[in-house]
Amino acid sequence: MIRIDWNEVKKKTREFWSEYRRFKIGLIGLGLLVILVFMAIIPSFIFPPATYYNWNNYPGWEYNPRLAPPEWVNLFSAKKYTPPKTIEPIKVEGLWQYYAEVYIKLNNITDENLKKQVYEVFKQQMAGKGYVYYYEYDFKWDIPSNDLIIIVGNVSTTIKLTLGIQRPPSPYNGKLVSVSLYPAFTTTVTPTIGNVLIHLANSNQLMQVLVKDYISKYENPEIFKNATENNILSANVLSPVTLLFYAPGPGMIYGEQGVTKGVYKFNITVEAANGTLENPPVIKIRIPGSCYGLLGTDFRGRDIFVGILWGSRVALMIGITYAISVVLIGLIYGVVSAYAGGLVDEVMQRINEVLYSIPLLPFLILFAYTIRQLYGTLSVWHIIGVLIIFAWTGLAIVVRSMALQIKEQPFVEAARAIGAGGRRIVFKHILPQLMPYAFASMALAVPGAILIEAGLSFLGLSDPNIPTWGKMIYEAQNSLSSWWWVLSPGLMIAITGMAFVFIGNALDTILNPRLRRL
Amino acid sequence: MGYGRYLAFRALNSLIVLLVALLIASLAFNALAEKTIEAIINDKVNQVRQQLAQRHVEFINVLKGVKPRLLEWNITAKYKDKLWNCYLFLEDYENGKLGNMSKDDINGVAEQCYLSYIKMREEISWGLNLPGYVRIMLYVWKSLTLDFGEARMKYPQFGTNEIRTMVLIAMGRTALLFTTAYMINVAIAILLGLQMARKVGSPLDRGVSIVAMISASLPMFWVGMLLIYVFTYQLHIYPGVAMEPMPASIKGNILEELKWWLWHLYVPILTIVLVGFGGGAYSTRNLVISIMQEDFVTTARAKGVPERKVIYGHVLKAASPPIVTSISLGFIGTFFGAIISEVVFQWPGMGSLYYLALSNADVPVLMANTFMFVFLFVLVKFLLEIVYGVLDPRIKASR
Repeated sequence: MIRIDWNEVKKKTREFWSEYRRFKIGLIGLGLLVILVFMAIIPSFIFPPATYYNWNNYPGWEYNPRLAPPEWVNLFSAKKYTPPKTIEPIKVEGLWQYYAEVYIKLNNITDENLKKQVYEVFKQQMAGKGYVYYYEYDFKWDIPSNDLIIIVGNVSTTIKLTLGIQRPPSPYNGKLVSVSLYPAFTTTVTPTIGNVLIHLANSNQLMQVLVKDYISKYENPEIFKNATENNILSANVLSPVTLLFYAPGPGMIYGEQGVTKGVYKFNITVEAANGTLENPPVIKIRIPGSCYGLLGTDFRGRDIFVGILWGSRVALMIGITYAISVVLIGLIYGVVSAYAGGLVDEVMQRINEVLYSIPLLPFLILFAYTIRQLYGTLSVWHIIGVLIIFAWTGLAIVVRSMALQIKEQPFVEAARAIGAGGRRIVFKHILPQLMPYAFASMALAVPGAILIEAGLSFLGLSDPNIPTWGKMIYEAQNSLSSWWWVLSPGLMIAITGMAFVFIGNALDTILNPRLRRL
Repeated sequence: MGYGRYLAFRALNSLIVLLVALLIASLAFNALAEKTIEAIINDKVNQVRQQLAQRHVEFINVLKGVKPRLLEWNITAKYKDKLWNCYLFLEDYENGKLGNMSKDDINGVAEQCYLSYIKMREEISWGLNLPGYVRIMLYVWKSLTLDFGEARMKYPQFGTNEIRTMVLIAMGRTALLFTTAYMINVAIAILLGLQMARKVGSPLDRGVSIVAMISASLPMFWVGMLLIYVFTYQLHIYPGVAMEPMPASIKGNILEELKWWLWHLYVPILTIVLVGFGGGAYSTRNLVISIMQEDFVTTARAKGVPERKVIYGHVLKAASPPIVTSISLGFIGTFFGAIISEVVFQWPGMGSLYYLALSNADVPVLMANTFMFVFLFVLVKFLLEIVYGVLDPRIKASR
């Protein structure tokens, strides 16, 4: 039975801390580590878990702009990006109200009683047939959103939806023109559970309306003819939503006239295809914008900030699991080999040397690929596992040589002389001497594991579902101009690595003079 | 004598390592190949079924054509019972004993029989009937003789479909890029390391030490991406890819060709050097410092040997074996990052070949690349050990 003297441990820890505190670099490393641990913990509390295990296809990404820079670029950029916004209707009225008003207007009815009667008649005839929603969007930026999403909440019956748009007045040839498009877009929505998202970015219907009622009237005829001939005015090439915000004038389809700022008015008419709608469904308009959040989005509209936070959890998990396992295995193997001596030591050292000389990378690639092909999936745990199998050997060699020297020290001999058993000598005398070195090695081993995981991800060998920093860089490799996407995961890998290297180096400097020279 | 024994021992060790590594790799490939080949065979069987169905062939007639083979192949345990039953079924049919079966039923059974026959034939032609350990040994043998066959996909970057040539070309390119970068790295590391060791605690020493710590945790491929962003997208002074077809006008003109290569390769080389030089300089510095505290250096200084000669003559001479070791370790450390960075620069070396083989699921190419990587690694390590043996007088002196 080995007794641990807690007071001794406390005293040693305090002594160690007072020494560690003198290393500025070690303190920086520790500070970074605290931040990282915090980053790894908070996403559980602020993001839905599906953003983690369903990182690729989390439905929430649909609401975000794609490849959008962070919102804070507006602080530095002369041209302002549109932030995302969800617009609630300012007014919802029954369709009967709308038609009654139109009727009253057309027939010039002024008598209040008559008006009331008209309302009554329309209400009786048309109540529940449909609703009209009114929205207003105050647009005051320079780079418009290239998508507009109509979000339809739970509907119980098939509905027909019609969108109307009124542009704000915009100067053209010395006068103000305001264009209204009706119907700008129509569609039917069948009953579904959950929200239905209608993206207008790829709507050719809206494009045709825009071309007919807006672009063909205000664009320079030559440019317009050229664009039509080259099929540029199609939703596959240009987003009709972007065009909607562009100011009229020559070159407007390329945004040469800038944008029209002001209040854009939208109205959405919803009619039941057959039967009645008891309650108006919840309908909102989402402008995804052209910038997003703290760190922007990637090509699928995924929030990079969310990925970075989850990624820090994965990275710490990989790094720490790897470091602890490798150091433990190496420590035990080295000490056992040194203490046993003789033939056992020789055999153990041969095995170790062969494993040590086997190159790590091709086997990691090979095993990661084999696991993926045979089991159909690959998780970070597989990668850590393979990594551990091959990577403990270097440490075991160092530990063995250190243990051999400790074994020959007088105090071990003395312990043996008074009859201490093998286990007691290993645990009480040899291992405690090695612990400082073990801790330093742990800290120094972490960045390697994170880098290797990132490297494998970059070859396409990564956990397919969860966000890792390496995978984020891998996916960003063909979008180098989206600097926000490329920069943040790489910086995080570097910062994490730095935190552990700083800590490891501080530990090393404290512990080295005594142990490495032995 | 001492050196000879040292060499023999190292060579034996390298050989064992090579064999063990090949064995482990072959184990994985055997599992992989089994799976891929099964898929190929299933495809083939389906294809045969569809062809026969289109031509409205009676399966029983086809089966009659292969009757002798049903017996011949019933030695293979996996299909023994099935094919034997098929043979009996055919006998019964020919003897008119199947009167109570409808024509459709007979044809159905014949179809099953014929398809198992096809499956079996394919498995034998792929060698799946051999026991697992034989196949694994076969892989080891094939890799030792560099017999890798043809690639399943086309790889225009390598100009050939023969895997051996492909991998050798890739290896040469990787070696070209990596060795060049590494030479520069070593030169910088030694020069900087010596300067740092001479003035410990100076701004240079501290600066490079911090750079070393930071660059140790930078993913090289990411640094490469950033450099492309800056050099290509912002400054427009780099073509963005390391390999482009060379224009005919400069072919043959050595100076122009050299310029062309340099123009495409300077950013990849810069990437490897940027990430690697700090660590190299830092370890050189530590080694030199520990040797500068030795008695013989103090003696040399006391004798009045000029400082320059002390550093470059005495210290460097004594420090070179450990520097070689740390360089060899550094070599292995940065190689991983370097071959992955090839993907970023589209430099068609081993890293790119890995990337292509993985994305095409081309197992033979993956296999060849893995084996060649192991060869290269073991060989380089062995060469470094030879160099180390030459440099370290203790090995030469020992018996």
